[in-house]
Amino acid sequence: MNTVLFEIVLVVVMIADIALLGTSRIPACIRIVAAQGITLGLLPVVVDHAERPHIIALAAITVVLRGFGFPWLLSRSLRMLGVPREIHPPLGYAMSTVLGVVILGYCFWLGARFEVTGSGMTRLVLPVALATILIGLMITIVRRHALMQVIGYLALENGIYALGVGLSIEEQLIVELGVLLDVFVGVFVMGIALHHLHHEIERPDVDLLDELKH
Amino acid sequence: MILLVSGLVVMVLAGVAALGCRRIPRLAGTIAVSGVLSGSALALMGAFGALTGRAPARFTLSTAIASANALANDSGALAIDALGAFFLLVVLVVSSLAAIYGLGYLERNTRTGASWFFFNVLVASMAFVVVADDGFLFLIAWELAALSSYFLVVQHDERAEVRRAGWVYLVAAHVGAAFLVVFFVLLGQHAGSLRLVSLAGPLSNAAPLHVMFVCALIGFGTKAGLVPLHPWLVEAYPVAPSHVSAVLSGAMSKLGIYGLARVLTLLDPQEPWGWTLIFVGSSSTVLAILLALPQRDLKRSIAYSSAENLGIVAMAMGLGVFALTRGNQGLAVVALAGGLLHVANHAVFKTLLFLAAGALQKATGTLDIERLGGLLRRMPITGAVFLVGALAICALPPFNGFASEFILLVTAFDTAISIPFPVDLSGLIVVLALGLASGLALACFARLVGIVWLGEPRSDSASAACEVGFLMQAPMIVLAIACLAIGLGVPWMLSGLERPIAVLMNTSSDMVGGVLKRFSAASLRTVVSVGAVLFGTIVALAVVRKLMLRDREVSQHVTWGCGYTATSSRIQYTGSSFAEPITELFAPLIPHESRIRLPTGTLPEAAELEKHTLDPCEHWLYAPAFRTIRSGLGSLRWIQHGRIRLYVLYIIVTLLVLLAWNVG
Amino acid sequence: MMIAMEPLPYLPLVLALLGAPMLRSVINRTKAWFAGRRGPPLLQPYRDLRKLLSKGAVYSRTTTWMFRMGPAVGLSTVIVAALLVPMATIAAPFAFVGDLFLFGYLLALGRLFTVLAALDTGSPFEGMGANREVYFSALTEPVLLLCLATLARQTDSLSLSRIYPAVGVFSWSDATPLLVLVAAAMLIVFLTENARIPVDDPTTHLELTMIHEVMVLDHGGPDLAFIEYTVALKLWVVGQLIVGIFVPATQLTLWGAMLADVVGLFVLAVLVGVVESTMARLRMPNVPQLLLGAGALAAMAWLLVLQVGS
Repeated sequence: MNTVLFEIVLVVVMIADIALLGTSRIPACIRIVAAQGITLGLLPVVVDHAERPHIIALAAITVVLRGFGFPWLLSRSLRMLGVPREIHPPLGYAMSTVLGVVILGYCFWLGARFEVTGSGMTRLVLPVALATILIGLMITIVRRHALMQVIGYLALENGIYALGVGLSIEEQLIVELGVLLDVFVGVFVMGIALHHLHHEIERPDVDLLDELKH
Repeated sequence: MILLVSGLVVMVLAGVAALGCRRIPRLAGTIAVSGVLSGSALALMGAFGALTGRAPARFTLSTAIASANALANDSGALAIDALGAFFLLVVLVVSSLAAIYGLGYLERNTRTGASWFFFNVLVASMAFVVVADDGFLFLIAWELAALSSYFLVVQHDERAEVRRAGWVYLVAAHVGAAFLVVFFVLLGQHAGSLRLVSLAGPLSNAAPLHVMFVCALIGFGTKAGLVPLHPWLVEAYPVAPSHVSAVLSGAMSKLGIYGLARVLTLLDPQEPWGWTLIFVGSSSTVLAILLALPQRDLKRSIAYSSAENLGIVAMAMGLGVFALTRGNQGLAVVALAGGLLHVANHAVFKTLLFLAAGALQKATGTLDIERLGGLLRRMPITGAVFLVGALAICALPPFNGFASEFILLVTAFDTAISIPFPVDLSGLIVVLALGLASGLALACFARLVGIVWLGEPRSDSASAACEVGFLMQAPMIVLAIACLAIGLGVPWMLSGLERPIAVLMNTSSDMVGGVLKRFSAASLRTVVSVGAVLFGTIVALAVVRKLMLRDREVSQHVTWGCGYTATSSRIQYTGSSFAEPITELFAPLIPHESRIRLPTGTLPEAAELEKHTLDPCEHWLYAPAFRTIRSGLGSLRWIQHGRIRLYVLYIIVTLLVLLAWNVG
Repeated sequence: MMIAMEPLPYLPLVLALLGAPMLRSVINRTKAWFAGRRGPPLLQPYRDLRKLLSKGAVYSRTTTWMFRMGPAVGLSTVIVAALLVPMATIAAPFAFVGDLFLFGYLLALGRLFTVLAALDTGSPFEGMGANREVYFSALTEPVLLLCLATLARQTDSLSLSRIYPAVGVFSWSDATPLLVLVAAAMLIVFLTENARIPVDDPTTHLELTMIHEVMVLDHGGPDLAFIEYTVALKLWVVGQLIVGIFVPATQLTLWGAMLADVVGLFVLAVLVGVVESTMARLRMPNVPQLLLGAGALAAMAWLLVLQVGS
């Protein structure tokens, strides 16, 4: 039963990755990355049977922050920026989806190469986490809207979190809290930057940032 | 063997005679065609023994009248074995049917005699390629086939695009041949001999094995038209007279596959070659049918789909290579059977399609699908056979195209399921490529059949069309019947392929036969019975419908136009509209140039849109490459300044340098 | 693999032939319930078929024998395709290695003839419908093949009659996400093949927005009866491929499994009705994105099945 739940969580993460690549509406993307965060927050509970209290605390903090905190911050920024739709990306949604599936396959191939000790569960985590990291980076590269850059960053952090859980690093709590602090600061700073950017350039298109040079 | 050689000689002599009496075009044509037919018959009789199991016979030119067991003289030998006999059968049958067609198709003027001469030489040299046992002879025959086909392609050289296409053809053929020369040189160096057919065993430990394979792949792949070596094909096939297009596509492209098959017997197959073949084959399959979709010229569309089908054969060979390198003999047999069967099937239905296109051109004067329409009513036989060809090429049951694609799909799925990673990926790639390509082929041929043959005629020449003569109809009808017969008789076809596959795999034909029989029993017989059931059901339902409508009111009226009463043929869906959504989806792969002039101001006025789809390999690869070469060579122009005294100086300097080099 | 000569393997075909129109009435009833109406009686499709079969026909002057043959060929291909599909543990009458390909290509044959019959009328509406039909079906082919490849790898067999009895709800313990993904992808393919929302709206009255309906616009009388029956039968036959993933055929008795199968088909019909009532149709340029999403789901399932195996 445990393995099944675990697999379901990872499949949801995978679907969220591909959905992020194929969706053009930004509020939908925010919701997808929030759902991804919530599911990942529940991952240590599923793995470790929720016996130790600090695991539950960690899961709760992660769910609150990743599932509700950051999305709220992002929605606020989005309202300030005005336009909720993505500027048409250079690669196209269909091509991005195909590329995402290719990256997924590549990560599965890589995962088979690594000698990961552990049960069948951990064997699936490595490819999915790697894929989430790579797809987060890909979103940052492929999309032009400033807010999508933040969403890509969040997906990247989701992937790192999943990797941490999967590799079962000791003293996970401290590492994860550190990462969460990282993300929080990052999102906060990006929100402030967006606020100032909004007054300088007409559209939140990161390709226009080179206007600031003049 | 004597029979075979004499058959080829008869063909060539008939061609010369046709050239001789070119003032009487009708006589020239008849002599040439009877030469082709009798020559083919003789040659096939001579090759029959090889196909049914006698050991390969050799014939050495230096002892011209002697019997088959000449001394093992390596130069100038001909030999025929089962694999060669199979390809010979394909080549000669296609050529004979095209020749009969050509008799009714060609206009009778003073050029016809020369045209027939080149045709006969082409057929004879193609057969020569298949029976050549010596690398040197092989190359001579290859070049002869390329040259004679060039003269046939540029038959209508009063048109500029024909001249350009001929030039592209010549360049491509010779670039390919250059790679073949390199291949044969390396083969001669490492294998010690250039014998092709009666070789002891495959070469496995030579250093440049991969280089040799790549050279062979490029050389033979050019002739077969595999992407990215296909642009010459889509230029040359449409401008040639239709019986020549049929021979080029149905027979000559198969020589490329024949070459690749021989290479697999000469060199020990390696795993990277399987990946290369799968990669080239799958990109060929998908890209070519994608490019076939937006074409406006009927023959150009059909030419692109040739590249698609030969990509399928390449994929089959790739799967066979993988199976061979893993020692999985059974899988290799089935994969290669699928490939060879598809070679024969493609020859049949592609020839049929080109001949039908030619009939269309003769009847209406154009091949532009936007000027055609409603021709099924006016040319019922040609329309029906074109439909059969389209059904076969879309691999729909119960025709022959389905049988070979089915075999390939089963092999690919089997590879994807049972062979460990990463080779199972190749099976998956083949499955996905075939799935996508068959969907796109359905779209492409639904468009061609629907726009050209159905609906209302879009121009006066289309509405004035009438059915072509019997000489042109007969070969097409024979080919259409063959499509169905091969489809329903696949188990028997497979047993005929036992020996060619055995030669290809260097094993015994009993093992091959056993595998094929088991496969037939497991799958193919049921496929055939399902086909028969399908036929029966269609007939039954048609009868039921006829009975139901017998006593009822059946009337005729105009097509529903949503209340619009001024309907004309121009409101029909056009070919470019049909292809547009799909080409839009795959836009990054298909470059196009468009010119658009929109109305200015507020009142309506005339607007203009012109859009041409370009071939991606030509546009992004060859055109820039040749431009760079040209500009690079242009900077050396200063050498050609025209002053004779300096030319004399060049000669003297060269002589002095050579003298010093030789003596010193 | 043999061609069955006993009567039992033909029972699924008889069930399909008799029960297929009922699926359409269930869908219509579900939609009516959502709309607050009572809806047509359950046996209405049978009455419609009888009415159509008793009528005469009007043909357009532009059409040829292709138009008259189209419906017959379409119906034949679906009937023969039904002969390849197993039900519960009853193997199909024509079961053999690779029958899943013949299934796909038979449906393609029927589709081609429907498209050609549509183009035969020379009307722009039919041309539009034909165009969209071949466009979407070109994209569903690889997705369907990928789903079937995943199932084939999971059950290590290449015949539908071997694959389907081996998957079922209780075999899900080790392969749940995989089968759910495959079922989801196949559901999208099902909706596309049968021209349902979100790909096509079967109740629209605007010719410019139709896909399947507009291709059969000029047919009438017995031809239209054939076509309507083909649509119903296709719902049953393609739906069988999805329901078979869920029915635990080997854990139940033969009749129990068959009952579960039929119930499953009607549950699927209700589900289609729910989807049709709660969703709007997608804009046509967005349909390829939907199909690509189905392809991504199938690709994920394939990656999972590789993991499970290795």
